[in-house]
Amino acid sequence: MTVPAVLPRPEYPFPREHYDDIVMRRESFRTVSSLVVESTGHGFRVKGGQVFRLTLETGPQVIDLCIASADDPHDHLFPGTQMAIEGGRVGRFTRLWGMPPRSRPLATCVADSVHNSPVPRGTRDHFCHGAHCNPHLWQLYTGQHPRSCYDNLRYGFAMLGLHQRYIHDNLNLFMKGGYDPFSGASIVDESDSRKGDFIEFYAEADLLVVLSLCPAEEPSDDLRDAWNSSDAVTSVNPIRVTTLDSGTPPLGWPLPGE
Amino acid sequence: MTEHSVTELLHASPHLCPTPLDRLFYEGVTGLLANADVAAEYRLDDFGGLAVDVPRGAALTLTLLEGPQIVNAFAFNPHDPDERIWQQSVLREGVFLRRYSRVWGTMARYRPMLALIEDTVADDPGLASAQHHPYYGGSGTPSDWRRAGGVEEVPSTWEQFAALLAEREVPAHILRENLCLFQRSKIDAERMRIDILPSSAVVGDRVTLFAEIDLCVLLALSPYVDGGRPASTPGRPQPRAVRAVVTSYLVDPLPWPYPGVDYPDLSLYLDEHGRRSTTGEPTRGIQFQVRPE
Repeated sequence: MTVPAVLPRPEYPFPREHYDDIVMRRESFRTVSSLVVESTGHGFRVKGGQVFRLTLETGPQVIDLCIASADDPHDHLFPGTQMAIEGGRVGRFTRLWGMPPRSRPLATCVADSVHNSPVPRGTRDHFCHGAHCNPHLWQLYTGQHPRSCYDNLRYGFAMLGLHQRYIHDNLNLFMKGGYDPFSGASIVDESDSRKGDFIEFYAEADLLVVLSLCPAEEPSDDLRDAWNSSDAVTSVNPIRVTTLDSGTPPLGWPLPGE
Repeated sequence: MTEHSVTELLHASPHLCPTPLDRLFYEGVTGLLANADVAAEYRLDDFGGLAVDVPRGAALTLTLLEGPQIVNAFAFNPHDPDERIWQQSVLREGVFLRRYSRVWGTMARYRPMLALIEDTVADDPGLASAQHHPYYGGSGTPSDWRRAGGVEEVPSTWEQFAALLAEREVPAHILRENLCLFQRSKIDAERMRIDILPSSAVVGDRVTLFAEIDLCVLLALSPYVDGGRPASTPGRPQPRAVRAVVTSYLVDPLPWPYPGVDYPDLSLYLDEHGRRSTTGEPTRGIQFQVRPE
C-alpha cells in the first residue's frame, strides 16, 4: 500500500557558519563562574552570548532543565513546538524554542560529549519531553515524598525570585528517552553518559536557567524499579555548572535579513 | 477501585508512570451516553474557535459533520485556570489518546481532568503505527502557520485559543499544549518527532470526553483541515463543520485520590484559597547544597 505523505513542516533558517564559529572557539571561552550542585535544584542567570555547561561530576545523572527568557519568564521552553520543529532529540545544533507569540530560539546546543549507543527502541540521551517527577508519582510508587524534581525546580525558581507557577515543561538531559512508535508509550533506557560527560548551550537571549537533579538518578530500563530503591531517594550524582563568555553576541530573532 | 493492585500495575503497564484505572466505571459512563439529555449544542464551522463549559460529571461529544477535520482542544478549570491539561499525561497514558485514556491536570492537584470514553475513528490496519488523537499540538503556533505559507487572515490554533481566553480574561500563557482530536499521526523514530498524516476519520465519526471536574474546553478547527492540506496550499483553507454536544449530568466522577492510593500533602503547595501558591518560596523541608568554587 502507499504510505500517505507527511504534512510538510515550515523551514526555519539555521545560520550554520555562526554556530560553527562558536563551536570552533569553545576552548578559548572565558570562564565566568563555576560551581557544583550536589543535590536538589539550582537557578542561575545567563546573559545572551554566554554559554552554560553542565558536567557530570561523578557519574550519570538525569538533569531536568527549565529555560526562560529573563525579560519575560512566561516566554520559556515550549516542548510542543520543540517536538514539531526539532523532534524530541537534543544534540549539537539543536535549538531550544520558546513560547508563542515570539516563538524564537532561546538557546542552542553547541556541545554534547555523550557517545550514544544505538538501541533497538531508538532512545537517545537528552530528550525534550517528559516533564518532571513530582510528589504524586513518588507517593504512588514509593509511599514517600522525597525532594522530587517539581520541588527542586520550585527551589531553583525561588532562587531567582519566582514562584512555582513559573515551572514549565523541561528538557530531560542525560536521560535516554523516546516514544515507542507503536504503543506511543514514553520509554527510557539506561543512559550512555559517563563521569565527565557534558552538554553546553549558547544563550540566544538573557536567560533564567533552573535545573533539578532528578532523585531517580540514573535512568534504567524500568524507571519505576529505580524509584522503589531506597538509595534512589537520597542519592544523586553532583553536577558542575559552568558559565562561560563566548565573546559572540546572539544574532537575534528573526535573523538579520529575514 | 482498580482491577489490579498498584504493584501489579507497575509491572504490567507499558507506561512509564502507570496509574490505577477503574475501567468498569468508565465503561458504565459510556453506557449512559445513549440516553443522555442534551444540555447544549453548538456547530463549529469556521476558524475562530469555541469555548464550551462542561460541568463535572457531564460529557462533551464532538461529531464530524462534513468529513475529516482536526479539532484541537485545550481544557482548564474555570474556577482556577492555573489548573489545566498537562503534557505529563503522556508519561501515564502514552502519546495517543485511546478509549479510557485520561488527561491529567497540572500540579499541585495533578488529577484527572477528563477521560476519553468514546472514539469511533478507525485506524488503518495497513499502517499500524499511524494512530489518531495525539496529545501534542506543537504545530499550531502563528509562527509555524505563517512560515509554512499559511494565509495571514486565517488564525492559527494558538491565536484562536488566545482570543477565546482573552474573552474570559485568562492570560494566554497558560496555553502550553493541546489535544489534536481526529488528527492521525505517527512517530518518526529517527527524529522522535510526531508527524501528521491525513486523517482516516469519516463523516459521523465522534469522540466523547467525560469531565472529571468543571471544565472550560476550548475548541479550534485546524487550518491544516484533515492534516493533508499543507499551509502553502493556495487559497483560504475551508474547514469542515463539527457538532459539539454537552450532555446533561451523567454520573459523579470517581473520587480523587482513589481509595488506597497515597496522596502528598497539598498544603505544601496550595494557598488558603486552595490555589497553587504564588509566594516565591521553596517547598517546606527541602534541603539543598551548592558548593561554590
